Amino acid sequence: MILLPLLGVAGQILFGKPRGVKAKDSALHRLVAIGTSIFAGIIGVVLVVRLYAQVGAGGAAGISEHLDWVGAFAISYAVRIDGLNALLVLLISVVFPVLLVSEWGRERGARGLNGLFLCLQSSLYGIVCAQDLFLLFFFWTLSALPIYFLVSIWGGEERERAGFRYMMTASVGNALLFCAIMVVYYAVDPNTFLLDQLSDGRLSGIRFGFLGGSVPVASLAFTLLCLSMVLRVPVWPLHGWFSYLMTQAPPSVSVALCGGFIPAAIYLFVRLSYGLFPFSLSDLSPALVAIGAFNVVIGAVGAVAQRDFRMFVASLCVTHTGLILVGVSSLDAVGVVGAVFQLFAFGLGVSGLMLFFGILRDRAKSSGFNLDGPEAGYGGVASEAPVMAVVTALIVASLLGFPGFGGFIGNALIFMGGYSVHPGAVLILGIGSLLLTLATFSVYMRIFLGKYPEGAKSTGDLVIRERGFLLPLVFLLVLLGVYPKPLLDMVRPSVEALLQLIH
Amino acid sequence: MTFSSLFPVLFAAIMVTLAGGAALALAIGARKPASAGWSVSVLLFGLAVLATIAIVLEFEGAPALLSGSSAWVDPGGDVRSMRLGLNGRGAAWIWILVTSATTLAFMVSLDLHSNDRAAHRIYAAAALGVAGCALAWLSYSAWSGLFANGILVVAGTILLGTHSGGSNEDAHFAFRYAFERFSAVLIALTGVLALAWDGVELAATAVPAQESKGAFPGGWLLCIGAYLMVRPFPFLGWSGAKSRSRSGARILVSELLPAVGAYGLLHYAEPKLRALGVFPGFGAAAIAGALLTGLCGVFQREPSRAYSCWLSAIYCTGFAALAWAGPAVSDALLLGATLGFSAFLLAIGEPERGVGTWATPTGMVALGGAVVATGMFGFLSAAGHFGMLSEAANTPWRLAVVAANFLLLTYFFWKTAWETACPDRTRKHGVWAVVPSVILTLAGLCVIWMGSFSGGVLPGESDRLGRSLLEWASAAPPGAPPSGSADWILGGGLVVGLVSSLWSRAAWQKWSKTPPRVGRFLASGYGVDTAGAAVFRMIVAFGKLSERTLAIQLWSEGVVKLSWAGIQYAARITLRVDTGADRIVARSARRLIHAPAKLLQVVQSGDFQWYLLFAALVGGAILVHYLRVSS
Repeated sequence: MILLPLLGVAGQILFGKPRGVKAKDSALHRLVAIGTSIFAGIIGVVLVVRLYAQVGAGGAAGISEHLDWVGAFAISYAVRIDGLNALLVLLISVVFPVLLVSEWGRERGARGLNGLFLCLQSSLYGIVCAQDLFLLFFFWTLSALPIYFLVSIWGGEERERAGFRYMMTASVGNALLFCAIMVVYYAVDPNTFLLDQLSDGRLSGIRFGFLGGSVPVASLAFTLLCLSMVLRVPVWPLHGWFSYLMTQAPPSVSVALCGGFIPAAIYLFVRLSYGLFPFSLSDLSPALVAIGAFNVVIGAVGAVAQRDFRMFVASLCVTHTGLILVGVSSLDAVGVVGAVFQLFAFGLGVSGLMLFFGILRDRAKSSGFNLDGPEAGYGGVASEAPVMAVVTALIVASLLGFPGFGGFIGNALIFMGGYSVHPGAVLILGIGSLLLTLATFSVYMRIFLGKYPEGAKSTGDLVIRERGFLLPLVFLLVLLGVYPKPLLDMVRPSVEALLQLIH
Repeated sequence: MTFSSLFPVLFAAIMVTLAGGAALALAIGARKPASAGWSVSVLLFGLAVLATIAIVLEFEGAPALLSGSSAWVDPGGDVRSMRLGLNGRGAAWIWILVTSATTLAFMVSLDLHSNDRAAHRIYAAAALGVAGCALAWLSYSAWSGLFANGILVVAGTILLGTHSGGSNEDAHFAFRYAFERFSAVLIALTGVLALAWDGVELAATAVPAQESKGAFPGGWLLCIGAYLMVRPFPFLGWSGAKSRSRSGARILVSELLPAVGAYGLLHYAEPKLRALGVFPGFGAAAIAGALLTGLCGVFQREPSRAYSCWLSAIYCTGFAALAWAGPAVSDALLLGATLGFSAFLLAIGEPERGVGTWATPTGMVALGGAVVATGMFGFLSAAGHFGMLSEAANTPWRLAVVAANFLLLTYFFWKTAWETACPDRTRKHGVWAVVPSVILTLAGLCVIWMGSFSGGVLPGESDRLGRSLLEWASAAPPGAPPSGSADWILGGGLVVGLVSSLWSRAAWQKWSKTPPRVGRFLASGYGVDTAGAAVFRMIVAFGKLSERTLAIQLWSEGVVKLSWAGIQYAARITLRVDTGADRIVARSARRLIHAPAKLLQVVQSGDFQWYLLFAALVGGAILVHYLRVSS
C-alpha cells in the first residue's frame, strides 16, 4: 500500500505519450496513475476492514509489519495500522484517486503532476503508518517535496515565491522535528526509534545536563514537536505561509494539502504527543484547548472577512484545526475519538469543496467574487447548475456540522469531550461555529443564489466525470453521519489505550 | 400479520416516500407540477389517516404502535451515547394529524400548480416540512429531534429560494432565514451536548434528571435554541424584508411547520427541563419575547409580515404556557391557534393589504378562523389561554403579563385582519375553496379534543362529555383549577381586543405615524438589525486586520523580512570577520615565511652559496677537532 504509488510514479516515466498522439489524448499514463492509486486505496480499505474484524473479535487492534533497515542504528521499517490511523488511511485511499480523476482533463504536464501526486500519496501513507521515528521522519520530509514542485510548476502567478516560502517554513519545521527525534533517540538506552519501545511514559523522568542545569527530555522534545507542528499546520498567527500557498496552488493541490496532508500532520501530533509525551501533553492541555478555541474564533472571523474563495477555505482550515486541537487536548476519550473522526470528515468535506471550486474556476476563469457593487464575479449559479448547487450544499452542511452528516458526529463528540475540560472553551467554540456558519452561508449565497450576471458565460452543470468523483465524497459524508458506529468502534479502543497512561 | 406490525411499515413507507418525493418534485416536478401536487397530497392524506388511526387505537388503550430505538453514536459510555429511534406518543400523533391535514388543506385549496411556475418547489418544501415535523414529534431522543428541525430549515429554505434565482433580494432573504434558523438549531444542539455530557439522558423513556449544576446551562441553551427557531425577538429584522415567494405557502412551510417542530423539541424535553429548574425563567423570557414580537407586528404595514409576527408571538406564548402551566395547556393554546390561523389564511388566500368585504362566504369562513385563532369560548385556544390565566392567577405579575399578552395578540390579529383584503374566491373555485377552512375551523372545537364544550372554562365541568384527548396525549395531570378572574380576563380581553381593533381602524393610520421614528423603530425589529450590522462590520474589519496586518504583514512579510535582514546582517558580519581573519592569517603567514624565504633567496643568489659551503666546512672541521680532543 505504501510503496505501490511509487510504482505508479515509475509508470508515469515509462508509459509516456505514444508517437503521433497529442499529449491531451494520451490516456495510458493517466490510467496507470489512477489505477495505481485506486489499487493502493483498495489495499488500504481491505486492511482497515481486516482491522475492524479484529476489533470486533476482541483481538489485538493492529496490523503491523517490521523489517530491519539499518540495524546498527536501530532503524527499522516498522509500519502499523490501528484504530488511531485507520481513518487516515481511508481518507488518503479516497481522496487521492478522486484527485487524480479530477485531473484527467489536464493537457500540459499531466505525467509530472500525476507522478508527484502519487509520490505524495505514498509519503502520506508512510507518515500515518510508520512506527519507527526515523522512517516517519523520512516520509515526513519526503511529503514536502511534491507539494513544493506542484505549487512551483502548476501554481498561479507568484507560484515560485509561494513554493519557496512553503519550503523554507517546512524546512525549519522539519529541522525542529528532527531535533526532537534525536533528543528522544539519545535519551534512552539502548537507543531506539521504535514508538512501541518509547511509549508508556518511558521518557518521563529522564533529564540531560545543559549549561550547568538539567532539562527534562520529554518537555524539551514535546516543545520542539509543538513548534514543528505549528510550522506545518495552519495555526494562527503562523498560518500566513498556508494562506499564501492556497492562493497560488491549483485546486487539486489544495485538495491534497487540506484533505490529505493537514489531517496527516494533526494525526502525527496526536500519535507522538499521546504516545511519547503524555504527561507533557497533560500539563499543557488547558493551554492547547485555549489555543484551539481561539483559532476557531479567529479563523471564523477571518472567514467572514474574506473576499477570495481560496482564502475563505484557508480560514476554514484554520478553524477546523483549532476545533480538532480542542478535541485532541481534551484528554477525554470522547473528545479524542471525536477529533480523529473529525479529521476524516473534515478531509472529505474540504476536498469536496476545493474540487467544486476547481470546477467552477475552470468554468468561470475567476477566483475572486465581488460582494459589493454591480460587477459580481459569480451569482445565481444555482439556476444554471442545480446539481452543483445541491452537491455543494451537502458538502457545506457537513463542514458546518449539520445533523445527519459526518461533520456533525465529529463536532458533537469534540464539544462533548471538550466540555469536560473547559466548558468556557466549548461556548467559545459555539460562537466560532456561528460565525463560520454566517461566513459559509454568505459565500454560498453569493455564488449560488441571486441574479446570474448579465452577459456572463453559462457555467453549465456537473458532467458525468465530475459527478463521478464528487458524489462518492458526498455519499461517504452522509454515510458517516447516518452510520458512524463501525468507525467509532474501531477508533475507540486505540484511543482508550492511549489515554490509560494519563488517567 | 396484524395491523400493529403493519403500522410501522406503512409509516416508514410514507415518510420515506415523502422525503424521496420532495427530492423528486425538486428534480422533475417542474415538468409535471400537477402530478407532483397529487402525489404529495395523497401521501399527506395517508399520513393523516395513519395518525388518526394511531390516536383512536392508543386512546382506547392499545400499546404504542411505533416504538423502538438503536444506538447511533456510542463515544464511550451509555450515559453519553446518542440513540435514534421513534417513540409514538399521543401528542405526537395529534400534531402530525394537524400538520398533515393543514398542509393538505393548503394544497387542495390554493390550487398552486395551475398558476405558479415554481409550484413543484412548494410541493417539495411542503412534503419535506411535514416529514420533518413528524420526525420531530416522534423522536426517541433529542438528536433525531434536532435532525428533524434541521430538515425543517431545509424545507423553508427551499421554498424561500423559489424566486432567489432572479433577485438578489430574495436570495438575501433566503440566506438570512437559513442562517437564523440554523443558528437556532446549533444553539439547541450545544445545549443538548452539554446535557448529554452531564449525564442528562434525553431519551424519551429516561427518568427525569435530578437538578444538575452542569446541565443547567445546557437546559437553557436548549430552550433558547427552540425559542429562536420560531424567529421572534430579537430576530425580527426579517419582518422588514421582502420576498417574492407566495405569502400563504411561505407562512405555512417556512414559519408554521418549523414552529411546530421547535415546539415538539420542547414538548418532548419538558419533564427533564422542568426537573432542571429551567422553566420558570424560560417562561418569563418567552412571554417577554411574545410581547415584544407582538408589538413589532402591530406596526407592520404588510399583512403577510404581520401574520408571521403573530405566529411567532403566539408560539412564544405557547412556550411560556408549556413552561408555566404544563403541556396540556400549551397544546390546547397552540393547537387552537394553529387550526384557526390556518383556516383564516386558507380563506384569505394571499394576504394583501386592502379593504375587503367580509359579508361573503369566504369572508365569514375567514372570520371563523380568526375567532378560533384568537380564543373564542368553546374553541381550543380559549381553553389554552384560560389555563394559562388560571395558572397565573396566584401570581399578580404573571397574571398581568399573561393578560397583557393575550390582549395584545387579540387586538393585533383582528387589527391586521381588518387591514387585509378579503377576496371572494367562491366564484372562481367553488365550494372547495372554503371547505378546508370550514373543516379546520370546526376542528378547533374544544369538545373534540378536551371532551367538554368549554374546555374547562366553565366551573364544575358541567359540560364534560368524555375523556380529554389532550390530557391523555400529554400524559400530564390536570392543570391549575379554574379561576374566576381568568374567565373575566379572557372574555374581557376578547371583547376589548375585537372592539378596539374595529374602532381604531381609521385612527391607527394616524397614530402609527406619530411619532414616526418610534413606529419605524418598532416595525424594524427594535433596531437589532442596525446594531447587528454594525457588529458585523466590526467583525469584518477585525478579520481583515487579523489576516492582513497580523498574519500576512506582520508574521509573514514582517517576520520574513526581519529574518532575511537578520540573516543578511549576520552574513555581512561573518564576511567581515572572515575577511579580517583572512588578512591576519595572510600577514602572519607572510611574516613567518619572509625570513626563511629571504635566506633561501640569498642562498640561491650564488655568492652566499660559497660562503655557506665554506662556513659549513669550517664548522665541520671545528667539530671534528673537538671530537678528537674530547676522545
